[in-house]
Amino acid sequence: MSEQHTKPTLPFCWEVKECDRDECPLYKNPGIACWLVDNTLCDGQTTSFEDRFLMVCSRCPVFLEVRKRAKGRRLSDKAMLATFDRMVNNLYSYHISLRDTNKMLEQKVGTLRSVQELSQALLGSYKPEEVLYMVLTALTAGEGFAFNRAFLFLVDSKGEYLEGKLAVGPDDYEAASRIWSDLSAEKMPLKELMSNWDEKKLETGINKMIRSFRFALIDQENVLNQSLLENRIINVPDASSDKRAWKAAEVLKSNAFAVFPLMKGQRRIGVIAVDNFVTRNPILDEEIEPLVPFTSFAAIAVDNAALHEELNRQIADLRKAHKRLRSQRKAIKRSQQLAEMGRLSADLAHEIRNPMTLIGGFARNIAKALPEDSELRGKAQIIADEVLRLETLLSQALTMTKEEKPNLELEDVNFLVMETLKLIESECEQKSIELLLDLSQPLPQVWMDRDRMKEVLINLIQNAMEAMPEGGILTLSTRQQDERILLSVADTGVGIPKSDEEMIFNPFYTTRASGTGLGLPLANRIIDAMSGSITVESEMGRGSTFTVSLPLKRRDNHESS
Amino acid sequence: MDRVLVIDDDASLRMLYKDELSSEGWEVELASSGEEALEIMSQRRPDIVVLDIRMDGIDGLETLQCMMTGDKSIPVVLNTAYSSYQDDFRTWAADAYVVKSSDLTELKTTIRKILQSVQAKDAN
Repeated sequence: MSEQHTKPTLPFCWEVKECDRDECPLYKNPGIACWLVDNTLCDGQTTSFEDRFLMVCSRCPVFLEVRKRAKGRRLSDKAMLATFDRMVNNLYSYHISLRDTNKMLEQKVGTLRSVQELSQALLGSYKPEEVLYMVLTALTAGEGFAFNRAFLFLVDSKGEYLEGKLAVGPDDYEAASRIWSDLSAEKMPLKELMSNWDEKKLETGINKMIRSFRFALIDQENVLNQSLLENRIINVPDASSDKRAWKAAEVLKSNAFAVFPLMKGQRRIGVIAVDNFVTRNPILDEEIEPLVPFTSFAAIAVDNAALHEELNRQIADLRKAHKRLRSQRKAIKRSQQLAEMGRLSADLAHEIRNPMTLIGGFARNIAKALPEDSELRGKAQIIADEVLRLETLLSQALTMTKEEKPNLELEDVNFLVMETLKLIESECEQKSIELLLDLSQPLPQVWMDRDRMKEVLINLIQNAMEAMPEGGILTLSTRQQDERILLSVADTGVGIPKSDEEMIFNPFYTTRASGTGLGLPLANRIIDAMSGSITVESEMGRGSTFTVSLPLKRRDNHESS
Repeated sequence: MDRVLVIDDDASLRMLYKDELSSEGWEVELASSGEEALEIMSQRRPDIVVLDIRMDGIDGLETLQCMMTGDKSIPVVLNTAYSSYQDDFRTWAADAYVVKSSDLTELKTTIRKILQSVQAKDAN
């Protein structure tokens, strides 16, 4: 037994490591070199012998104990041990560097794969905001380039400014940790993250902030411009010591960031800035390198999206123009029909007027020939008078379609309203329309053609009634405003779409199947001839208010027409 | 007695006009077309012409044009059912434009005024 003590012995690994795992093949199994045994329960035992020995066993207290016990023996043993030690140490460092290189290579392959994936995803989308968002997401997602935040600035259409467009990342440092852990906990695949686009993402604080910034491209003292103008990536590890980075640092509120240009051929699209705002990790040049292929794809995608948007806008414009043309063509056709009808009715009027002249003329002729007290003379006179009345009616009907100088007199608008009211009261009652009057009194008299003004008012009231098929409130109001008298007709009806508000005064434009499209244009012309104007205010579902405005002072600028 | 030449293609109207204008003390001559009127005028100069516009053959405005190449001094009153002809610049060549009506007062007044002004001019 005493001999055993003098001979070098192997230490018991379960004792040195205070291990009590009895399922291990080494447990309470003395005399075995544990580092030579596969499938033990020690750390790292699943890897190969070389890996295990270099990475785990050579640093293990059991093995160190073995070396300690081997010390101080024969000289040859010492020399062998020293040689062995050195070889082990060298092997260890080789192994470490090999592992690091491997890891880096793997990372590079991963990045390249992401770039390819990203590029494909980018080129597949044409929604500008979505593309921009995808680009920035790719830069910040763990599977992508894993920067903390990314900011996009685009050159404006005139090429004079860099404008803040979009940002991805936490709003501020406080919010950062939460969002950051959420994000990394989710571990969403990049593709999903990128397709997770939503308009709301444009409304985060950081986005609103970035959109409020723009830089004149002419400013050479700005690292953002510099990157774009020199078409190179610029890494700013310490903005405080680089004057040209100050402006960008102020916007990004960050002292370390990298800026890279987006170019399509020779065309400057914009720049992207990235930083590690949360983790405060320095941005390494190796991290920036794989951005180069990515940025060229990103630039193409951003530019494509912009072109696509422009194309869409032009298509929309064309559609609108086409629609307008079509409606104009319809209006022209309509006006041709009306002109034809006008000619027909003029012909008709002529045909009627001739016999009327005859009938009336001879009746008058006969009446004169008869004795003054004769009954027949009275009857002939009646024929003559009635024919004259018909002729007058015919003339009025014909002149209605012609522009006429208004017969201006000083009149009371309130009086006109009351007079017109009598004509419509019963109709309002039938249609369950409540009539409200808000007449300002006293109201100065105003120059107007009373008959024509009445036509206008009736026209506006009829329109109002037709806007309220289910009943409602019709309000007639008058008031003085400076040198004008205003007369308003308000309904609580369906309202007029904003797009139609300009159109309703165009001849032959109508929204009603039965409308001629002449009512409002005629009213407009009449009021215009009185040097006044008609305006409309409307809200969909709430109703419309038409207001006629007439000048208190007479202006004869229409005398000449 | 002043001579009035009435040109109208409607026979009944010519009858009415002859009746009414004669009672004003004028000598009324009638023509049923522009051609006939020009023929009459070439033989004997009327003091005034009452001219319808819409007629078959050469119409009132063409007749007026022909008259302008001849004796321009004969006054013309255009008398038509069409008020719209007033927009035609050729009507400016006439001395007056009266829309047809069963009440001939306006036409008579117009004729009388023109004759008076012509006579006043001649007297000077």
